Amino acid sequence: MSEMTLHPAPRWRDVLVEQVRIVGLSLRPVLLVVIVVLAAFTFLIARDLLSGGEGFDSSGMFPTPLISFLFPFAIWLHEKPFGSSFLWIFPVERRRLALAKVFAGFVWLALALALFTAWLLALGALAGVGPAGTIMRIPYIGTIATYLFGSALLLGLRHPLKWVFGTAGLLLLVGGVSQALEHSYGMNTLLGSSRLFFATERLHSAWGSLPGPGQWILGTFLSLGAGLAALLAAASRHRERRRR
Amino acid sequence: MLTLRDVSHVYPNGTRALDHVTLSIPRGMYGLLGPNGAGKSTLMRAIATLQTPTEGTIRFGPSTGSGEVIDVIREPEKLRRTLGYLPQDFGVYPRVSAYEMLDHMAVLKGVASPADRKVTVETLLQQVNLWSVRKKTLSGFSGGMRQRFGIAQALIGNPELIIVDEPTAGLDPEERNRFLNLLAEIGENVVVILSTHIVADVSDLCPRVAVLADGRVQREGAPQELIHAARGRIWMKVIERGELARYREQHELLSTRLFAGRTVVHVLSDRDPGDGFTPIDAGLEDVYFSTLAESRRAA
Repeated sequence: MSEMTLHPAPRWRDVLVEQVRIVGLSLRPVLLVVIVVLAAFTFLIARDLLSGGEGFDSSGMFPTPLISFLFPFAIWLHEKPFGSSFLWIFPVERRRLALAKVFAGFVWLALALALFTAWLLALGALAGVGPAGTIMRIPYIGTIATYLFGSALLLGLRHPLKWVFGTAGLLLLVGGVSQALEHSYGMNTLLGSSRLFFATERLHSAWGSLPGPGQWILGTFLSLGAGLAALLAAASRHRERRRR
Repeated sequence: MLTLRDVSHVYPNGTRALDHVTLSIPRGMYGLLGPNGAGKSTLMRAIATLQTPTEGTIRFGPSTGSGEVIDVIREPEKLRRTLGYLPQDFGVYPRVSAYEMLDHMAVLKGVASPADRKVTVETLLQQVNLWSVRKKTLSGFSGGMRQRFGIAQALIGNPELIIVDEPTAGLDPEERNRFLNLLAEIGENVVVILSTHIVADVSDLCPRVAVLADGRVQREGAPQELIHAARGRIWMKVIERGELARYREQHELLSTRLFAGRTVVHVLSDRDPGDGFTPIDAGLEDVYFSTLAESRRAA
């Protein structure tokens, strides 16, 4: 070996495009499931409409934030962000490669949201519900924000599922204890503050009603900002640490 | 040549997995033998830039004075541009075909031109005899096919350093043979490190071998030199199975194996142990077991 051939590192654009492609290919089984589920819903709604029913319930919201929170788990299912993984032996800086994969997932999420919106608009048109009423049911910003948080969780924690189930378990426990105590003491009474009671009422009414433009902008900025900050902090765990 | 000087690694829980490992690995096949927990995979991951050792240096470059030498610890990305790695357990996207996966990896390794990638991927699939199943998803591959795919991805970009970690574990004899033949083909002009606990893999392929135990290099050299050093010290006897316990107490047994219902034992001794033992020509396996026995005694 007299001369060593060092191939050029891949171009950043090629890495991004390739991550989008491979994530799309790996999500093909998920796509099939989604198509089947949507087809089933379309059939049920169409049947309801034809039999004179409402078909399309224009109240409530779709749980897309929950789905998008879980979406990163599908993307990273066959990669190990921590530990020895194929992902880390390529001549691409690791933090950037991790973020490229998150971006790839976001591209497919955005496409899925767009297609879902189109499907909903079509159903809404059939049911006589206007576009505004249809679109307002999809929390787009919340969906993107929870995707960012889900990705941050996966990239930042070695055992993200333990944290997810642990937190969910804790919330269930607190809820259960609260409900059990309600009969004798009541959590509101225990907390002892009417101000807290009224504050939660205001929060509840604010949550349930449509925000004004200013509130919407602030909410968007805060939720997306927090999501991006969490993601960047999590991705920094994979920055190359070199001993000097 | 790959040069390791005083490479040590201590995990956060205090486990010293590598202890001042110093090796010079020239071009060609190089065997790294050791039992489970010896530190082989830690060493392979350190060389493959997956983890940074806590001490020591690793350099890769031409053995002559000319040409660039890569400091692997300070410039891991540079080494990755000429590295091929087949880990012990590699995950792939199961619903992606072999062709698509290799193409993906070729992009990430810097093969930018689609035409070049096409040639690279097709050549590699043919070289590892996976051309006929190139469109099959990886989830449908047998163990041997996965390992051959693993070698194909390790060869993308004509790397100068290839690390193969426990490649034949779980393969049937035919698949193992096929795989080792493939390794022998590629191991002539580049540095190939074969890390394994299967002595036969190393003895068949590697002109130089190191035995690792307790994170330290216990012995290093050409197999024939190591075998020669053990000449006259390996003794053999065929005993009844029921006598094994007694012989374990009286002698330091290197290995035991069954043959036609009886037990063949090998012992290490500088002089005739008596008791009906006969001297035999040592094999690399005897060298390996005797090295492990000596390291356990020293510990």
